[in-house]
Amino acid sequence: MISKNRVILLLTVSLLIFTLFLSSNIQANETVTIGVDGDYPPYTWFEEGEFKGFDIEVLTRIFEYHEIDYELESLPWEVAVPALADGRIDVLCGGLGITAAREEVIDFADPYFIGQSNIIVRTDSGHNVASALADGSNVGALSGSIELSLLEEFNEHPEVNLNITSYESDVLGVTDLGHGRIEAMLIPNIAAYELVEAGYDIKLIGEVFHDDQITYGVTKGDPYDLIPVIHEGLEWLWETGQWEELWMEYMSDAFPAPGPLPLSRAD
Amino acid sequence: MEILLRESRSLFLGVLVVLQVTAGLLTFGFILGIILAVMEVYGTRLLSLIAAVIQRTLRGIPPLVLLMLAYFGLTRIYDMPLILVAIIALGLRSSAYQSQIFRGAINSIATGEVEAGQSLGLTTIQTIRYVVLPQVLILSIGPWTNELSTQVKDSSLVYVIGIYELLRRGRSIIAYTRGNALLIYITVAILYFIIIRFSNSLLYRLEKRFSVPGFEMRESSGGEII
Repeated sequence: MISKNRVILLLTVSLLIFTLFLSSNIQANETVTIGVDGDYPPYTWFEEGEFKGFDIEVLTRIFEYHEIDYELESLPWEVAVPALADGRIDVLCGGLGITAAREEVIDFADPYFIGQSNIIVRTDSGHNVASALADGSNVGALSGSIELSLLEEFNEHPEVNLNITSYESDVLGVTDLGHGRIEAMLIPNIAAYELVEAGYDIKLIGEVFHDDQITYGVTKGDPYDLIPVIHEGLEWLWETGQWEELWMEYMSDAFPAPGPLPLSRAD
Repeated sequence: MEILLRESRSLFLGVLVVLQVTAGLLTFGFILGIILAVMEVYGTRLLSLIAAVIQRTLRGIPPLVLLMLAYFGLTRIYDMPLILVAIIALGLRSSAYQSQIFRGAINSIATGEVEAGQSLGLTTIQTIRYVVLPQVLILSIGPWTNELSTQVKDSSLVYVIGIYELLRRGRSIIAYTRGNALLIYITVAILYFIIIRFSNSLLYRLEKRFSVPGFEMRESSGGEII
C-alpha cells in the first residue's frame, strides 16, 4: 500500500520540479540568448567549465553597455544556424561568416573582420600553393566552414578533382596531416597561425583570398532590434580603445586589429 | 597532465551530467516501458497493437534523429531546459527497449499465478500490481543492467543539442589547447568505464538482495562480468 505521506511527498517534489522549470522559462523570455558552439578558438571555446573567447567578450561587453540581460546557450555548430533561424537562440557568434546560403535564413550585422584562409602543409612537404590544390590532391577543411564550400566550389571545375575530407576540429585535421592522410588543409588564417604557435609541425604556404566577412547573426527580421545594438556597441568598443585591447589579447599577433567599426559590408 | 588537474572540476561536472541524463532517461523509460509492456501483454487487441506500434517506431528511429526532433519540436511547444529535452528524447527510445525486457519477464511468469490471483478475487490490475510486477522487476534486473550500460554510453550523443557532457567537455579541451587528444580521450574512456562498472555492481547487489530462495538466478549475478 502506498501511504498518504508518500503521495504528499511525491506531489511536493513534482510541484517543486515544475516551478523550477517554470521559473527558468520566465527568465528565458526576458533575456537575449547568445548561441555559442565553444569549439572554435580564438572566437569561442570552453575552458574550465565556462565559455571564453573573443566573440563572447565582445558581445558581453556590448550587452552590458546597453544594459541588456543575456544568457549563453551552447549548441554544436551543425545546428547553430538552423537554431538561430528557428528563434531558438537570438544571436549567434563564433567566427560566423556571411554567406548567401546563410543570408536566406538569418540576418547579419555588419562585419568586424575580413578573414582569409591559408593552406597548411607539413613542414617537410614539397607542396606549393599550386600543387597543394591541384587535381587529385587529398585536402581537408573544417566541416560546415567556408573553406569547405570553397574547396567544393573548386571541384566544380571539370579539370579539378580534389579528394576532400571534412574535420570536426582543426586538431583532428592537423593530426591527419601529420599522418599523411591528407596533404594539405585549407583553414582560416587565424587558426593557421595559432596552430603554428601551438607547435605543430606545419607551415603556411599561401593565403587564399575570398574575403570571409566575420560578424554576428540574428534571427531573420531582427525581431529584438539587436543589429543596431551590435553596431552601436562595436563603434563604442572601437572608440574607447577596448577593441584594440581585446584583439591583442585574443587574436594572433599576425593580424592588426581591424577598424574603424563596424566595417562596411561588401556584397 | 597539468591540464587534467586544471580541468578536473569541469570533467567531474561532465560526469554529473552523464549521471543526470542517464538517471533521468532510465526513470522515464522505466515508467513508460512498464506501461507499454503491460499494454502489450494484457491489453485488449487495440491497446496491444498501439503499444507494439509505439515501441517499434521508437526502436526504428536513430537516437540522433530523436534528439533533433525533440530539440526543434518540443522546445517550440514549451521552452524547456536542454537536459529535459535530452531526457525525453532518449527516455522515449529507452522505454521501447525496456518494454521488451519487461515483456519477456512478464511472459515468463506462469499463467497459473495470474489465474490464482484472479480466483482470490483480485482484479486484473491488482493481479498485475501485486502478483506479476514484483516478480517481473526482480527478473528484469539482469537484462536491465545491459540497458543501463548502453544508455550511459549513448548519453554522449546529447552533445548534438549542446549539452556539455563528459565527451563534449573532453573535446572542448582538445579544441582550445590544440592538442592532448590521446590523454583526454583515455581519461574520458576511464571515467565512462568507472561509471558503468560502479552502477552495474550496484544493480548486481540489488539483484542479490532481492533474490528469492528457490527462484532462478543468473550465474553471473555475483558481479564477475560487466
